[in-house]
Amino acid sequence: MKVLFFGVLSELAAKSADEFDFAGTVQEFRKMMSDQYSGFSDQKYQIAANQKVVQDDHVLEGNEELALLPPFTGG
Amino acid sequence: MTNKSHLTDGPISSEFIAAEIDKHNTKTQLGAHALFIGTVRADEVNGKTVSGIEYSAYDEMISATVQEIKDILFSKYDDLSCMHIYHAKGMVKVGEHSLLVMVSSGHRKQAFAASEECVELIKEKLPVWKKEAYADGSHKWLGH
Repeated sequence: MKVLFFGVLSELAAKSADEFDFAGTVQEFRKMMSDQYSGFSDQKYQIAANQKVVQDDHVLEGNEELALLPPFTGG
Repeated sequence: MTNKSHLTDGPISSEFIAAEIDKHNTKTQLGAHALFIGTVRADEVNGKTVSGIEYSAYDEMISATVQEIKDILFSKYDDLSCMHIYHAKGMVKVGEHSLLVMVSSGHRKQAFAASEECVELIKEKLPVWKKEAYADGSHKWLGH
């Protein structure tokens, strides 16, 4: 699946996108991100699957576009 | 309206704002246009001066979020006729504009109220992030 990083997460990951083979819950995906990228476990972020925000118990099939969204700061 | 038409490449110019107002000249049933213009301040942060803000956005989620905001406000205010939202993407220097909201209605009260609420909903829901740039060349992501 394609994973997009925004805001401070793009700086911590040193990239704006990545590809992962993953199927499971959002909570498990968060754990994988924290293991993969240092600093992610300290950050608050929402996750959108195909542009819709999903909760931690949501099950990902593996073919979604995921976006990791730190708190919005527009304006 | 395409996704990207809510995002401008760089700051929102005064010419852009004027053109947006002029587009409504033929809508002669409208008596009130409330505009909110967001501008980058030269804040002092820990002894450093802000020189600009770099905005990034999740482009593909912007259009649906703008529609969600419009749905909320059009169902609440019955005198609204149109609502336009433009957010800058990329670097916006101090004194330049990052946000334009224009809300039009028959009479002033709903235009005032809905424009304020619209800006609050943008802050809460629009997938945009700001990175403050300082005069000494350093930067900081806000809001985390």
